[in-house]
Amino acid sequence: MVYLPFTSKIPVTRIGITGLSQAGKSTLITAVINHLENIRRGALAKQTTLSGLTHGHWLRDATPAFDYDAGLHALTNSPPSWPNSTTDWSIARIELSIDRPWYSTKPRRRIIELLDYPGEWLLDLCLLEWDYPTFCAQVWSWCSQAPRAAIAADLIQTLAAIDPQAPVDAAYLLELQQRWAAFLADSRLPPYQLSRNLPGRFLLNGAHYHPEHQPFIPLFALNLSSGGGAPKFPAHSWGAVCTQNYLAYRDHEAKPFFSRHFQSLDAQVILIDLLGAMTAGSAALKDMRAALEGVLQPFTYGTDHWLGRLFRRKIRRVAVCATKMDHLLPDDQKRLQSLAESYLYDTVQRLAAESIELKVMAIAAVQAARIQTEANGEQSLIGRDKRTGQAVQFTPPALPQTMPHNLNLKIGDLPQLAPPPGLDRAHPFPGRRIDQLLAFLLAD
Amino acid sequence: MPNSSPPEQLLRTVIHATGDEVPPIDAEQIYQDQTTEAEPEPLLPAAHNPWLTRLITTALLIWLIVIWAQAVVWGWALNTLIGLTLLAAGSGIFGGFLWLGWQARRARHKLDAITAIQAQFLKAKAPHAPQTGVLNLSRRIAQLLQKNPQQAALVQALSSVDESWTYTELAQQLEHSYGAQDRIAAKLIQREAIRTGIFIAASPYPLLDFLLVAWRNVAMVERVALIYHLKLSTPARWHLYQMILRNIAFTTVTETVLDSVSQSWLSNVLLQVGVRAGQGVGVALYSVRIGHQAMRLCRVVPETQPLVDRNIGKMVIEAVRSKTHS
Ligand SMILES: Nc1nc2c(ncn2[C@@H]2O[C@H](COP(=O)(O)OP(=O)(O)OP(=O)(O)O)[C@@H](O)[C@H]2O)c(=O)[nH]1
Ligand SMILES: [Mg+2]
Repeated sequence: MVYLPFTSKIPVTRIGITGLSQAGKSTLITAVINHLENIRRGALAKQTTLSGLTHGHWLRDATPAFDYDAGLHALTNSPPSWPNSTTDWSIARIELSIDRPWYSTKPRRRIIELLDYPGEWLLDLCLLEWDYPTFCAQVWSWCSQAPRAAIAADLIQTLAAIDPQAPVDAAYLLELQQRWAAFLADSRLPPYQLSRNLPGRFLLNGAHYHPEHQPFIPLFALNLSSGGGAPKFPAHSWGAVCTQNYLAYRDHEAKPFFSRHFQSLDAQVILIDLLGAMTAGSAALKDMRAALEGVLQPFTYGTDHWLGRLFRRKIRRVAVCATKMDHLLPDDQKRLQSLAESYLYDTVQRLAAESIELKVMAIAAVQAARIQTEANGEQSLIGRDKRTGQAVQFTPPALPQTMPHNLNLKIGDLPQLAPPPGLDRAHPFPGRRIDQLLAFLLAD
Repeated sequence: MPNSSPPEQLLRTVIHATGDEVPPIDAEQIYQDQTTEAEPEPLLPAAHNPWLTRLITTALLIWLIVIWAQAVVWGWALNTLIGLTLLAAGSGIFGGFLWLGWQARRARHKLDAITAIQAQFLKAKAPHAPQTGVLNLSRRIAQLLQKNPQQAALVQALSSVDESWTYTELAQQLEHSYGAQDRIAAKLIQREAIRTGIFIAASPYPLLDFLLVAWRNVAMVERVALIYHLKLSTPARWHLYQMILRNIAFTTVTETVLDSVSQSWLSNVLLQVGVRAGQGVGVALYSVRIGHQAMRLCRVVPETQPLVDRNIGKMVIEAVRSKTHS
């Protein structure tokens, strides 16, 4: 960045916190604000690259502002709970004061903006490139295989049976759309935990989108009988209505969101819930990897492509973080990072070849478990289960050093932890590697 | 559900207890767990703000310039020629200092660049580290070395690097080209260490001689740097000594044990040869270490095989012992 001396404008660093739903975005943002508020305390103070920062201050003036209060309230409550799942986008603004020598002309203030949004919407990024037949073909390629084929067998059959040329039945279309949304919601939850749930706004509408106004569904018959070329549909047929509404969704809902928020980013943090996917098994792992590859595709486009321009204009740093590492023992925490690297090997390699500073790491926004070491040296974790609220003592499994190539890996019975008691706004939350992540993102 | 893929590898979690049997969680403990994992402290404290030094230097500079300007004006009033001479002399001295400062900075930057390149090699050695950027690195090395005609062979060797090379291959190539210099430097260190050791062992005034030893070691470092075609300036020199001392002081335990000779063998020798010779041996070993660190710091590739033969330590001891006994 170039600063002009003697200008009063405060430089703004925009960081996108990207991740599929439940990856841990909102929790990380809450923890980051908390760490920056307490910048002279805790691990952050030891980071030499950040030694000039003296004071952090959360600004409420962003519109719409990230609800830090709600996050803090949830985490410091007794019993504490995680922040609620996000329903709309918001921006967290933090002002940092920087200690500079008296003769320096560099600005003494700096603003960090963190963008939070529902993870469901991120997947729409893949959809920006697709016309309606491609959309149907892609969704069909996922739905015709296990596990999706088993989750909603009759819905998929019903969709495949519809003749795109036939005149549309508006009420039935609406009903099918609702069933499709319900199917997406099902496949997102355990035990499946699938990631490629399109269109994302069916799951979470946001403030202004009303799916019932312009309903559409993927029509699989289109794809079954297709012979190439854009199909022609008579007016008011299933095909024509769905194509029209799909394009409206793509161009007036999905696209504006990305072009508005992603083009001014200076850095991206990509959060992946690798542990969560591993507890769900290989199908979830595969689906998540495919989803992430689709989402990270634009980074590798050249600047002659509008998506490539959107992503590459300013972004210099990308951190890929496996979250929730506090569910593991210290030795496995290190392995989680190398697992993440081998899991996303293709993508990481491609990103590394671009002129982007890339870092793969494992983090925990809030350390939820305490480590108990027995007299014989065996270690276990003690925390509270998120669902039952009961205390639990467990030894997580030892992770392999690298991801098996076929992703045939499953972690059994790993509890999901609730936040630890005794968190306090005036102290940096106990976390793992948050300081290193910030040092990477905020370095000059 | 039909599933043709092989069964999943299942990693089980062992649940020891739930509910009331679990020991209580207290927040303090969690905070403590975190601090134990925190990064090791930096070796040297972060440079504090040198504003006082800057203030004094600025004041001093302004004062000198004012005096000089007064002198010029005074000279001018006396005679134009005197004024001109004073002006020229002043600018000449000022320019000279600038030039020296610039040279010094450049030498210092070269050392920093070498450290950075070594760090990149080490980083690439970590498991799963991305292997991209070899070409860039080799260009950086070539750029760093090409100003020096004596390093032409090294630069030549680098010209065949392309994108398909790995960091390990590049490191091996560089190791190979450094071979001759390494041998000369190791010889020099051995010779110097033996001389220094004997000097101490045979000297009647060991305390005084330690000063001389320090000077000899400084000279040795200088010569090692010269073997690697590094021209040192005062700041670069300071920085190099600082790094050498730091490396020696903070070597890990295993490194120290592997270094030169084993501890028990050494104490045995000390018993046999007596205190004076023992001192000589200790000093000689220290010289070997200093020379070794200097070598490591002067090369763009990190050390993979020991640069100074582990036996040099023993050879030095043998030599010191036999010379002092005869
Ligand atoms: N143990 C632990 N669990 C975490 C951590 N961060 C997130 N989680 C878990 O992940 C869940 C989701 O976290 P959120 O921060 O809401 O995730 P999100 O990405 O904002 O999710 P959406 O808003 O739904 O897109 C939480 O309910 C926690 O159970 C962490 O640092 N440690
Ligand atoms: Mg959220």
